[in-house]
Amino acid sequence: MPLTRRRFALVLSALAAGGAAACALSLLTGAVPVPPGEVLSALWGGGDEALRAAVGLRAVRTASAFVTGAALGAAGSLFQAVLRNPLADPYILGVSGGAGLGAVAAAAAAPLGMATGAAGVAGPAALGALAAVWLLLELDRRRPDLGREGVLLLGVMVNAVCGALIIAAVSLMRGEEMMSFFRWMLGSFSLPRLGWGEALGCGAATAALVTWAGLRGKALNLLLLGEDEARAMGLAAARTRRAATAAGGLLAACAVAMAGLVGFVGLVAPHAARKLSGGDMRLLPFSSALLGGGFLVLCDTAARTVQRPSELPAGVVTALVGAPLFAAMLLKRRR
Amino acid sequence: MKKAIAAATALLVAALLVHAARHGAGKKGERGGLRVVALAPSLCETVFALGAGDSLVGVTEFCDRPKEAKRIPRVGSMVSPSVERILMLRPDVVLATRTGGNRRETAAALERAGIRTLAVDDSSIEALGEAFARIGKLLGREREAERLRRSLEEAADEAARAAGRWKGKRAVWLVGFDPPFAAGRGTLYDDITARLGMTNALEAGGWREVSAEWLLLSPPEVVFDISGAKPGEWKERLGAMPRGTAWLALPQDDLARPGPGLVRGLRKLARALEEAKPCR
Repeated sequence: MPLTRRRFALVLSALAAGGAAACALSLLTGAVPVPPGEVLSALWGGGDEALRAAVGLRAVRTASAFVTGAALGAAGSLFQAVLRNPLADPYILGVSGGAGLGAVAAAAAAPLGMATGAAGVAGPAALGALAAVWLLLELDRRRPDLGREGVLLLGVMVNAVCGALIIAAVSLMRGEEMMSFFRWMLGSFSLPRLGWGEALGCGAATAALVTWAGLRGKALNLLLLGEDEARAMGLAAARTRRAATAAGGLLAACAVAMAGLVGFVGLVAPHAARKLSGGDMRLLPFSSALLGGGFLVLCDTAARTVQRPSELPAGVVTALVGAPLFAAMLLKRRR
Repeated sequence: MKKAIAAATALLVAALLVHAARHGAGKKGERGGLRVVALAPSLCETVFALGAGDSLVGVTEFCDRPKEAKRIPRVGSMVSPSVERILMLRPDVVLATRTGGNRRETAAALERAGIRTLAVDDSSIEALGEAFARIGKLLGREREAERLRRSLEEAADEAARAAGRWKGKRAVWLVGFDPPFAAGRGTLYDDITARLGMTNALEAGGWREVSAEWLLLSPPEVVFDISGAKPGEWKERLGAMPRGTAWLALPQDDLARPGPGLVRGLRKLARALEEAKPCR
């Protein structure tokens, strides 16, 4: 189906409406039931202090989950396009692993660094993600013969090494640090780490990167044909690939800084988006971001309510829901 | 490439040999009496409190109290200590906790190697007193153990008397800040809550991450905060303090470790309860 301006607007407004509905549901649901009227009034500054604080926490958490999911969805769509491989996602490629390693190194250097908030972890995590991306790009540049499967497999190896180093560092931690770090490794939006500053900062960065990707959609579409074809059609293919990979790495770094290592969103969201509205890269980064955001918001809502007043890490829910969903999509396609 | 691999292997082997030579087996002389390894900081403290610190030949990385404990050889973490290292220390008995961070596999591996292990329970004040008694009996320090058990019971009674007007209220023990963790049913803190005449607001069993929203909107009347958070940190993160709740910030050092330090911790708890006031 050709991508007309009308269809573009239609798909995006439908997905945005879906994302907004997920956010509304998340705001209205919590560990303690609060009537919708009171939630709304607390959002506008009514109600008592505790209610305002609690609804404020729900709002920050909803925004954080949406931004993280959007960043992961968009990053997945970019990696999948660049590597022309439906399995590419920040988690599998080792980009999240690199970020995790950055964070654990920082935590080891400054004990209890995990408690210092996103600011303490975000920087090193982003550096780690970019280092992993840089490594992949460099390998790709020096050894063009490896091809895209080769790069994907190398990413898997990068992830394995990062994972082993992370576990090595974690097993030397004290009980309470370990607990805090494990939650982060599983991907979690629990209390202490996130505030509006983080959500808005990462949100702005994500929006900018997704828009950039959408604007470069035509070039990315050509990449999907294969690098040789793209080059034949006059595109500086290697440069586009590299820019798109770096953008994907930055998006993944945003997500890791927010919530730690959340799996499956970057894999599932682009696939679902492609099913719903086609694989045109002028649209896919936007649609994957909106779907990823909505999906993660719903998963986190489940994570904080199914066992109330206890909480589960959001990453547990994304894996429990995401993996079967991905398998179902795969089986359906192959038939 | 082959050269690099060979060089790396040689380097690794050399490093291991040097390490093995430096941490060689059995270089400690006989001290007379039992040779004991303690697999938890609380157990290490207990042995010292019974006046038998000299018998310790191995402790975990986290055994930092009393000061003398820092000089004892380390055997690794609580969850995964090095069984080999423990064996090399030729202990007569290894002390472990059944309810804390030790794994059953560790004890099983030691038993298979012919080492006697004593796994104690610390999920209630009574169980802890019993643990003191068993360790005391093992070390020939029955009188000291009985004294320790009595002072623990007395400290718990003192706290219960101080609970006064808070009796019958809902309470929760916050044991971690990031993420917020609380003590549920079957834990030592659940037992302390019951002894204070209160009910544990967290009905789930074991240790649970709890929702911030729950603390704000369905708050227990008393919060025992041994999370180690800095003053003001909870308020900053929650955005407000639950109104009507008495939030008692207690020293983590004394209360988060189920050992002899708890005697001091429970006395501090008693004083905090006497002065407790609800947040406004």
